[in-house]
Amino acid sequence: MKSSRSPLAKGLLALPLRWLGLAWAVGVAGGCLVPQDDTLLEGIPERRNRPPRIVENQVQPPEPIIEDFGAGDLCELDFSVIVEDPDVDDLLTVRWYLDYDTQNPTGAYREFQLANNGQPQRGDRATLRINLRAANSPLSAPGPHLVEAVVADTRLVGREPVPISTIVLDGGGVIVNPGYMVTHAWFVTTVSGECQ
Amino acid sequence: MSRMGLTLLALAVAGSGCAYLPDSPEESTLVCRNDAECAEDEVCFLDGCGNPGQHIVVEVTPNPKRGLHAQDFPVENLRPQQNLELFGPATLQGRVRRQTLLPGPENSSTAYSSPLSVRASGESLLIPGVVRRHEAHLVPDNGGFQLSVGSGSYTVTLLADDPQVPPASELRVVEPGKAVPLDFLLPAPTAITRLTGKVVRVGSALVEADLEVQALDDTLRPLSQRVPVVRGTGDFLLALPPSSAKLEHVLVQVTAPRAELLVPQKAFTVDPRPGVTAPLELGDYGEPVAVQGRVVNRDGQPVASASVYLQGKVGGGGQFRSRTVTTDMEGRFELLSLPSHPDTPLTLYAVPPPGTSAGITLQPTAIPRGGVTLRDIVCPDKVIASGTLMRPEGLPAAGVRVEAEPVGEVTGWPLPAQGTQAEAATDEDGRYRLRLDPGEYRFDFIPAENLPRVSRFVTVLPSSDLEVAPFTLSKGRRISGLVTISDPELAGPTPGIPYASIRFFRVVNVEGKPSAVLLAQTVADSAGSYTASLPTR
Repeated sequence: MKSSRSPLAKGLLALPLRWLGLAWAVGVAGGCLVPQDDTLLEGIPERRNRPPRIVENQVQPPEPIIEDFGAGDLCELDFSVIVEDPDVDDLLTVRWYLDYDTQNPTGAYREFQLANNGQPQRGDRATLRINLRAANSPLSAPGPHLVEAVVADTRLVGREPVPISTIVLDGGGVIVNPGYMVTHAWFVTTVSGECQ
Repeated sequence: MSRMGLTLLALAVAGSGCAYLPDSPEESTLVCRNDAECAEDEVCFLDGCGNPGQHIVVEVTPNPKRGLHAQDFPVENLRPQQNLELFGPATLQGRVRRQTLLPGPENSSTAYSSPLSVRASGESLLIPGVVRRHEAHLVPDNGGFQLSVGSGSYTVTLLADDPQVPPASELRVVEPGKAVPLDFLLPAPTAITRLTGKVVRVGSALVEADLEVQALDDTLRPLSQRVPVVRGTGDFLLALPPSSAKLEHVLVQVTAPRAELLVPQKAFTVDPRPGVTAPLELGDYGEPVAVQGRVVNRDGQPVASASVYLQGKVGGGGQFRSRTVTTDMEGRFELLSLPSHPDTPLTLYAVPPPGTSAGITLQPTAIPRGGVTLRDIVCPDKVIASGTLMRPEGLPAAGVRVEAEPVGEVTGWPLPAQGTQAEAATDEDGRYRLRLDPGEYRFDFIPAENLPRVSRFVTVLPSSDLEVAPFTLSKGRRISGLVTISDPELAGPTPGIPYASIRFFRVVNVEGKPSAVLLAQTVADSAGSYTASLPTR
């Protein structure tokens, strides 16, 4: 069937359709068909914190159970831990707890900050020297004792790590960047002897 | 390993500077405050001016969990690239046999295959004061045993789980990578010197507490194991080596195994030859009594969180130490003690916590049998030790961590128990300040940036405050290298030993005494590479 419209009429009808098609193509290409919410980043997003690690094969003494502390000439023990943290700028603290009792919590016996050497493996190490000949030596009482090294890359409340940061999103969601705490423990039995 | 292999290994080690220290270190007398006071190529160390490349011993601990313990090597002419090639594990290994007293040399002993502990305690051969201790509880395989140790000089003690086997001790020197033979021959059960007896309080009255006894020789070396006293009868049975039967006397020490038992410790001189002793009387040490008091500082203000305990001689001649208690917010305490000996008061120790201005105090305290409320215990002020630290270029060194580790006591004062950290890192003027009890200390200065750590020995006397002479940090030079092991069976997937601990010491004579000062410590990375910063000019 042949169209009865004149060529002029066809041209007048096609012109708006062409413009409409062109506008549609521009809109799709520009991605502005649906209005989007604006999200502005105020800075580089904070990297999620990674936990420190006690280098287990280098803890001293290597044996977790130490019998007869105070017998013979064994009057002094050095406890030490080496720590690795992939976040090289983290402030790492090592707290030494002696006979920590969760029912009657007390503070750390001693606390060290590990020097930052710009490497994941901190060259600095936390060493606790216990000498039974010293006044008020904390392990002098005969019997079993618990020695713990608590390594944290954040502030501790009691012995619980506090998150590094918490972000509350507009929708009510919460993103927590956690802080971490890792421990190593030794069981020491002190015996009465000639050290005191 | 073949002879050729051993020769090549020795050459490689010598080539990398890992030869044994041939000469005793020279004595240094020059006291200095900064490197500028020393000769052109010297550094001001704790012991005076010295060449920073000499008298250095490196301790490398590859992996104690795998039995690769510390190895020490002197380093001559320390170079910027200092690879450390290690030996395999050093071991004490041998057999434990027990005499049988059967006729004939072939049957005179049998393999001992019951559970036992082997303990090696000693010191590094090259680094004075570095103590080493290794222990294993094991069941010998047909009498055979092996204990991995670090290099050092050791007293090795075998303690069988069976309390009727007397302990045996041997001395051994272990060099890196060496397997040192060590055999123990335990006496036959019939040859053991047995010593029986009874522990009583007075007369036939028994002690209402768990007790333990142990026989010692004149040098306080154990002759027997520590065995429990039978609670209901007071009886004990000690097993001593056969040679003890010829001794005119041994010491038998009676102790309480737990702190809450208010029983004195007492040593008795006993003739072991009859095999039976007269009852060991602890004596009339009285009943526990309450002791109350208050700890205050020089201004009369209460000292909270101070530790308080009593120690000394009690009735019957035994030694007693009470449990340690802590003062409350008002400085008050209450503890249980035995009454003091009628002729000798106990000593009361009050130890305020670190960081407070109050210092340790000891005072003779008579404890009557009815208990006592003491007058206020006044603590003296701690001594304030302060000083100034400078950077190598002469500016004040700010942000340096300062720690004081007690290394000895001064006359009339006990050894302080706890190291102390300065209230803050050095300020912008390089000033630091610590509150310390009297004692001998090693001050460690640990810069936050890449400068080497520095140590100084400081004696704190119980007089006025102490101004430590100012001194200057040294420049650092970076040492790096790879830690490897010569034994291919122990090598891992990487060419280096991952996470090896490395410590550099300067070994010198300080006041005529061989001493070691830690210059740097570091840890190898996961590929076995390490870097450290050591002093230089």
